[in-house]
Amino acid sequence: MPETLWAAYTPDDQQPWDLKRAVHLHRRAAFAGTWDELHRDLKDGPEKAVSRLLNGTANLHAAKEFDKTSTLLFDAAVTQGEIGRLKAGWFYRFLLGPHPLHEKLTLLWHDHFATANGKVDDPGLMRRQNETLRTHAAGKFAPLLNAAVREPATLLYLDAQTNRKGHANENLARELMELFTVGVGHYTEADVKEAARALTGWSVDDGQFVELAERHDIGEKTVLGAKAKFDGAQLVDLLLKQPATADRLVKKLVRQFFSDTGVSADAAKQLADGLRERELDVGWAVETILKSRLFFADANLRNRVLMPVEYVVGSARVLELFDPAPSTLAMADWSARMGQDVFDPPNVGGWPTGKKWVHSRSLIARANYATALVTGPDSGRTVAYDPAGQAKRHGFGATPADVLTYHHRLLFGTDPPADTRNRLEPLPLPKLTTALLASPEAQLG
Amino acid sequence: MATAARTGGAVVRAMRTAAADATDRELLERFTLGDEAAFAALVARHGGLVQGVCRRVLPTVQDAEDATQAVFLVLAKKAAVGRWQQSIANWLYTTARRIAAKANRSARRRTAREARPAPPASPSALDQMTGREAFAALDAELDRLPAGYREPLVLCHLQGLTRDEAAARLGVPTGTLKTRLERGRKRLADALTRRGVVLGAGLLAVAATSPAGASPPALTASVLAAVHGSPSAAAVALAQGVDMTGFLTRAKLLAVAGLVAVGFGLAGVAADPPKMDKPKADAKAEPKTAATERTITGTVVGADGKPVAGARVWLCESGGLIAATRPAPEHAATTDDGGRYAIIRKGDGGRAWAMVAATKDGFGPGFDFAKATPGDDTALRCSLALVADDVPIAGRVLDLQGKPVAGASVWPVTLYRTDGATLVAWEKAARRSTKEAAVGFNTFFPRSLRLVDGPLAGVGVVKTDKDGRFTFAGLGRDRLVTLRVSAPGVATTDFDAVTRAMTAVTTPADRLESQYIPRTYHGATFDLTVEPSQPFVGVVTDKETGQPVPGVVVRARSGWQGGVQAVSDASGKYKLDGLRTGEQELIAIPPIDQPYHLREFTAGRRANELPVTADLELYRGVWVSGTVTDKATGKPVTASLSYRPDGFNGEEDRIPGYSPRGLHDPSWYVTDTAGQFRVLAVPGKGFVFVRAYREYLSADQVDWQGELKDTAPRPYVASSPVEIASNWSAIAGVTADAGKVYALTVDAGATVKAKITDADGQPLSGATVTQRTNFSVFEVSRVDAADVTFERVNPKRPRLVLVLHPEKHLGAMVRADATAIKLTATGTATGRLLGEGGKPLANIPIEIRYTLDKDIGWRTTELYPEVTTDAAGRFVVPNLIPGVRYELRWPRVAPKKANAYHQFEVPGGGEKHLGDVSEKTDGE
Repeated sequence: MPETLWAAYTPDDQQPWDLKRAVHLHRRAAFAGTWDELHRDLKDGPEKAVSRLLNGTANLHAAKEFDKTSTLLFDAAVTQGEIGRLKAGWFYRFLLGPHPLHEKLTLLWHDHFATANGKVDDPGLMRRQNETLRTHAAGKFAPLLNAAVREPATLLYLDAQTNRKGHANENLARELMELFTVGVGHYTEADVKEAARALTGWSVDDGQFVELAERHDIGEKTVLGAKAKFDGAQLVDLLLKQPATADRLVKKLVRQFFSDTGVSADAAKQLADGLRERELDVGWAVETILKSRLFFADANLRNRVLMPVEYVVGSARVLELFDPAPSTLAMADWSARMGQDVFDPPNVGGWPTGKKWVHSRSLIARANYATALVTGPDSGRTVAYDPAGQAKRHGFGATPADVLTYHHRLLFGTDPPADTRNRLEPLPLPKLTTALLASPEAQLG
Repeated sequence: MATAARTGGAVVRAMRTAAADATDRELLERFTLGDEAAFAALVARHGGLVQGVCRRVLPTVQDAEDATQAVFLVLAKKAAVGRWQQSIANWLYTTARRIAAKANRSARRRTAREARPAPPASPSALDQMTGREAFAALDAELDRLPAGYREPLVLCHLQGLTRDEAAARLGVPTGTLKTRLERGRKRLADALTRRGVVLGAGLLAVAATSPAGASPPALTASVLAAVHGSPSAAAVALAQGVDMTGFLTRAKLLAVAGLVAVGFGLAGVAADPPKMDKPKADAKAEPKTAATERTITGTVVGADGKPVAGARVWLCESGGLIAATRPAPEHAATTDDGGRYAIIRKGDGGRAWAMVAATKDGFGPGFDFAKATPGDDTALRCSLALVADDVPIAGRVLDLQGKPVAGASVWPVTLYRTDGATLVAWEKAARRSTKEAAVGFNTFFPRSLRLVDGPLAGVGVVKTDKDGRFTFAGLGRDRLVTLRVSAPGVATTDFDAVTRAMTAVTTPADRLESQYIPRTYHGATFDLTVEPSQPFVGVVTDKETGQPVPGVVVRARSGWQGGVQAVSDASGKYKLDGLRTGEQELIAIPPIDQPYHLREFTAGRRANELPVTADLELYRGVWVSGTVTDKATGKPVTASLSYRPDGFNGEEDRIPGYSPRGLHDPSWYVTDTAGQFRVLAVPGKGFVFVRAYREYLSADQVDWQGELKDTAPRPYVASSPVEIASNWSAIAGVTADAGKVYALTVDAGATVKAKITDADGQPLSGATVTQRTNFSVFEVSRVDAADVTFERVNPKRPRLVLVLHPEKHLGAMVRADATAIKLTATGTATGRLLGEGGKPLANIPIEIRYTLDKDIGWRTTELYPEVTTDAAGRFVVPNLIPGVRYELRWPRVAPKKANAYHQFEVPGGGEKHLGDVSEKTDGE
């Protein structure tokens, strides 16, 4: 079936390939584009730009020996038993990794299969889960689901080990249906009970997934109308086959790339159908989305609130704070203060989206973070950000007007309107930059 | 210096009374609010239950104890988050079953892998800087004893042989063995005292490879040691003499540091010979004894065994040698053409000992303790071997952003020596199990050289280059070294590396043994990541006058963070850098001769690298003065002292951050040559604790003094925090603002010679004597002849002694001041054990326990081996002494909990029929 609503984007007069769209692409599919990345992509056209992001070749500022260093940082965090360092290690990946799209998808699945170290209390297992999510992040959903749901961290978080024959704990079964696959409204309480029976025996021993036969209820179960002696694996297969699963995946991806406004019901249905025909190939869906006209439509520009992680990492990126980078320990902490503490989502439902990110406490944190980045010390840098120097490096003058133009184009892809100029140009340059970064507009991406 | 069993029992009982009415849930709530005594009460209440469950599942007592600890660790973790019933017994039971089952699988897998069973957990490695030093000191001093004195100690105390068995092993009469044991112990105690380590039953018991079966008080103590993260009243009071093994978590390092501080008089960062801080008033501090000349001689050979000329010989840690007690290694000699050297030093009259090292370019250093020449205290000998130095350490230091840290200082803290084959074995053990590597550490690495105080022939500080890289040579191949990294803005970090090509080992985590945290050992080439630090700055002033106070040490309160500390300067300013980010507990320690209390405070912010300002106001205290003399001779005694406010005083709560000296820091007051002292106190009631450096009766056996004059001693002192009386030689109640001078005495007690006779009055040799000594709660020894000597007897409160001749079935319980001990016929108890529903319990092992003192508690010793019921549930227990309270103890059959017990006495010789004995439970 032709996914006509998802036809590819080709630039035209109504929707030219301009800086605005380049910024948009990098905000949604990565963390933010630096000036040189944006202009390279502007020059090379949208197809190449999207390709680079899909292939992990877009980042001009990736760290050398990235894999080795990232492994070193994660290993050290695990052997020290320090979850704070694991969080810092993930921010190292966000900021300096070559494949930001992949990292964003990993974060998306972390939210989807929400698991909190506050309960699991084991950085080693949290790291294991993180790597599993990363491995399958852009593949087909079946291997991802099967791997994620067997991760010791997931099982411990959802008390799977206490679920046994004659003594049910329904947490895993419920979240498997409500959150991981079909979603609310597509199952009944009876289904949950029966599904729990199918999952009996799934447990964790010595940090490994085990299936304990003596705890498994081998009787016949009825789940979503199907009768069989389901075990865990078969239950997962059954859920994967439910049409509602594809719909739910589409919802998730749409919220990431289209914000809460979403797409039309038809478009969603088309995408879901496409997924169903392709064994729930998430990679295909992401590629289709990023290449589509819908994605680049005016209606989809600058309408999504940046998640704390996106705001924290994106701000550091646009200011090109790579060397020295802000303290990754501090970045993780700032993100937590804004409401997104990686490896510690608030509950099984993961984090909120959209407007729910903006309340007074988190806005204050965002403003303080912007100040910290620009001034230096409170973000772990000993050097202050030099707005004029940066503008000059990219061919601008050093006047407030020039500096404002440079940063405005960098953040939004457009020139600053008059009222913005009036408001910000009188300020000293560091304050100007901070004010821009902390402005309400800059919370959208 | 009693073991935890005796003192623990009393403390537990006291706590039990206080907590008797609280439900489990209430106790848990109190615990989550910081009341650790509440947790102790829970452990005391349910420890027996949990241990019983574990013992029925697991093959060895040690496994059961470990599993029991694990159960309570889980309880501690879940205390705040669980929804608890009024009684947690059910939860404990289920959790114990689960954990024991898991432990059993591990145990079975383990024994399946190795043909022999796993060695019993020998508590060896404590924390790197505290326990290891204590055990290193013990090892070192044991090693230096002449063999004739060392062997009995090793056989009896470390390997648990009886006197008879040891004598037979050595081929000497038992009387000779006993004499050597006493003398060896005395020498060992003296030697350790000079190093600031107090030898007590605790240290030896902990060092033993086969501890006697634990009874609940010791179990409680070991559980609390495992669980508690801070040396609170409960932990300190109960944890002495406990099996502490392995790599403890950062939080649990607190417990260790606290324990070692109280029990061993050694804690915190420095393991230097004790800093004898003297009151400034007295300038003539050193004891005036004739300085004797001492020599240290030896040869230095290379790896091929051939003498090495021109090797530099260093005096490292040493004692009793004037001008050689500086902390940094001192280049004291150079070898001649024959590889020989001689070092001559004046001694200060005290016992001489030294760690000697030899270096030469191109070699790795050799090092060892010098040994005394038998019969000649002035001549020490030390021969050393240099090793190949062909494997340099090459590392790179990165920050959390992956960037190299340039200009960081790297230097060695400790160097561990072993041989190549052992290193291979150690690597295998480390890859297998955290616990195995931890528990066997001192066996794999029997010798260590402290290098943190100063360079040894070029093995000093090295700086990282612009790529964050550094190289370390001169350590010798096949060694383990702990290195420290420090740089501005970086948290000071220690890490371990071996001078051998090896991929990094991270010991595998074990959820069951979660008190051991995994450690990483790098090979000779590695990358290391370090965290940012958070500097603390401020000014220290006198609260009253506002004047600056210089010389105040500011550091992290507990654990040990790389020895990171700051000292306030002349204007009271300090800057403390190198601690990790985040809120943490710090402490300010004024100089000991200044009238200011220590001050704990909290400072720091999460993930913050900006300097944190913490200005400190110090509060003045009140001096309490006195003297310490020997009760018998009246002569002044060299002693160290501590002060604690009375537990009900409350004054210390009005002093912000008040912390008693010696709790979180290794400092204590000392008497001067005239036996005078002064300690800093809070207004109102408090206690002064005295520890003398020779063997005196411990303060739980002699009357207390000062305001508590003639008070009968108790096992623990209601001070804040609680103190264990047996840790001290004298205890006095004081009132701080009364202006009194307290004349205190330490009491060596009397020596009583007694004769053992049988019922007819004939001298009888070969009896066993069981008594409490300064070293052991229930010390059992066999008497060769009919004469026995009791030392350190308090005539006012003589202890009880059990004398038993098992072969002749004669025995008696007497007081230690008895000169004639007439043994009478022992009794035999018989009976039948019944279980639930009156069913006889067949083939059940019964422990025979007895008590000498209601405060000591019940004990099983080799005096009464386990008895098993026959197929009809019948039992026979011989050799029971009239007048002694006995207790039979046996495990209840599942699914009920705890042990069952039955107390009884025998009136005289002959049979006592106990009849059908069924269950009462204990520990419920």
